[in-house]
Amino acid sequence: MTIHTIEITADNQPTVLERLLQVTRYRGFVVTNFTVLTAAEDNLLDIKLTVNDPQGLASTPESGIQRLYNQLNKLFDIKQVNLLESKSVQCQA
Amino acid sequence: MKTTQKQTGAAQTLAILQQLGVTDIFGYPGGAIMPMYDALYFSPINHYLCRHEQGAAFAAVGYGRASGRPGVCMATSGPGATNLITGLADAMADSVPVVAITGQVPTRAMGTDGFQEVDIIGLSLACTKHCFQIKQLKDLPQVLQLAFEIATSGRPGPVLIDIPKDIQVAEVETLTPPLSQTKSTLSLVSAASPKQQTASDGPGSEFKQAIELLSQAKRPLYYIGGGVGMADAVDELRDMMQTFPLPSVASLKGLGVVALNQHHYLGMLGMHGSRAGNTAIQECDLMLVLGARFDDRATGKLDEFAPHAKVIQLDIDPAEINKRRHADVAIAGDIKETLPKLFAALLACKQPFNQSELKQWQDRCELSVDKNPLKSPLKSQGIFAPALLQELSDSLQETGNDRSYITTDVGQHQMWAAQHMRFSLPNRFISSSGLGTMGFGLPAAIGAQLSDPEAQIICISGDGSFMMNVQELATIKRYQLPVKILLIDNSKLGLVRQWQQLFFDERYSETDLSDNPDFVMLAKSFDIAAETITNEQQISDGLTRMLEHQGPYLLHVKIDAFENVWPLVPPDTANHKMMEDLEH
Repeated sequence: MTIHTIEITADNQPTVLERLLQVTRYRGFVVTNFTVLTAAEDNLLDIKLTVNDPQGLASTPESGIQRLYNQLNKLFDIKQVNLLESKSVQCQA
Repeated sequence: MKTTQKQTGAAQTLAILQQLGVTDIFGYPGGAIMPMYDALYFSPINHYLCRHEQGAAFAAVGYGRASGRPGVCMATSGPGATNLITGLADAMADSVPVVAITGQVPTRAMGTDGFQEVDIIGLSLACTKHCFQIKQLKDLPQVLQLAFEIATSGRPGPVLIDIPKDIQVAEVETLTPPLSQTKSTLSLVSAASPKQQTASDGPGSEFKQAIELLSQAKRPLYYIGGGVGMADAVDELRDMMQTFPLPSVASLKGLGVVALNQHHYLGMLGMHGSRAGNTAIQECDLMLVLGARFDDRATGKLDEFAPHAKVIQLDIDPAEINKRRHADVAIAGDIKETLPKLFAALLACKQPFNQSELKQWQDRCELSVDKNPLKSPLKSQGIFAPALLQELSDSLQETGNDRSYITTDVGQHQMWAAQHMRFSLPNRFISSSGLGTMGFGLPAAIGAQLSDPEAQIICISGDGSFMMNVQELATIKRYQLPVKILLIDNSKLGLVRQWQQLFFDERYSETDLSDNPDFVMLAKSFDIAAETITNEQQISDGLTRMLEHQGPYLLHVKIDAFENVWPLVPPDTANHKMMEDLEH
């Protein structure tokens, strides 16, 4: 299993968090950590999202996380997406 | 135009829609949208009352697909809004510019489970490109403008705007300001710099790489999707294909892009594609993929799709690149700009293709076309739907009506239309492709007709699909729309029945529709002229009577209940392993 951390800057709109989580779920990821801070700049949110990819999304040619990145980047209220790190972790039995 | 006259939020909404160029709205009134309907009473915008909100949403989709301008639909809160959802999902799947306006319970009642209250924002998140809920009247102008920008820019899609009733009735002092003055007065969008666009400025390295791959290719192929039509890049591609007539295939949404007289066009690829097209895909060593997204119905078993091919992919949506198939060269951006650049770069090469190798490849593809004609002989005196549709297509071309708009529903008739008809332009074949929505054809035909009132519109439907939005016959009657309906009736849910026959050991679970209504009587009850034909000899005259009739007309065509769509790629199978009907 791989854990990915994504940093997102978004407009502070009422639906942005829901949409972010909906896209993350639909594209096959599970949220393991989620922090949201109101940014210093007006009307922006700083979001840090940690997700894992339990299905592995093996059928995709590129890594699944790139697919999630692309889909998040398309959202109107999301201004910036950065993939911070991807870590492989052993599943505990 | 300055005045101190007061204006309601509803009136302001309509005034802004007018400024945005909206002339037509499809909708259905109800409690929470009543102020909008009251304002509509004084508005020059034409409203078309459909008989179900789903019909209104599909009419907006048909309007958007036929015209390229956003289709607008409107409904009340709760059930009115939820009934729009399928149309929005359809628009999302097929990238259609649609703007939906829903009424909402008053702000003070929101979140209290009020009468006809539903969280339409929550419901629409997964099937809109974006959605807005108006919280204060002053946000209205900017939201409406943004909604249209989002719906039409980049990869088009549906946008929903939810307007609480109290905001519709609230009054503002001044008349609608021109839209240019509304910018920067509101804080809906942050000052953050816009996302970096991935569009190419070329001639960048990706163009050089693309030319390198193209010039190395021995068996290159165009794989054409719906994006070419939506980018209005049909002429650009046709120019390129005239100079470089590589063999080509199209997706369901790409039908109509290729010129009718283009050499080496092999038809549709995929599950019900042509054998020639699917064979060429499997044999090609390079695919130039234009506004197509490797849909699973197009690729069949993905691991075995085009196993020898390198891929050059041009798409406006970076998220479609590398999604299902690795692109060796990706050119993200508007095809209307990127394709001419690629064409120019190719022209600059002295000899981009080895002519003898290309000729060999073209001949091989042509041989495959000749060996695999789609037209099958008639089994009996009954009507063979592929022959009927070929005759319709030929008749439209012979009579100079090849620019007619064809809408379809979903099922066997849809696949037969895709296989056996030729379309002069991509917006002339309006078929629910990505979502595969039964009930789409009739209301989409209404939308297409109203976007182009002088045009000939033919809705090709099946008996299952037709019943899903049959109430829209009332809309056709009300506005006297000369829509022609070609209803292909096998008294079955034909495509599901076909799969039950082939893959479920002939267990025909819930696919018999032999208790259908009398479709001619049904049409006549809406004052729509109608007739039934049942044998081959009646086809020609029946089609002529339908096409020459001045008003709406329903031609009910009875066909054999067990006719199948051939060829067929079974599920999770490589495209070249197509099944054929051995009886024909």
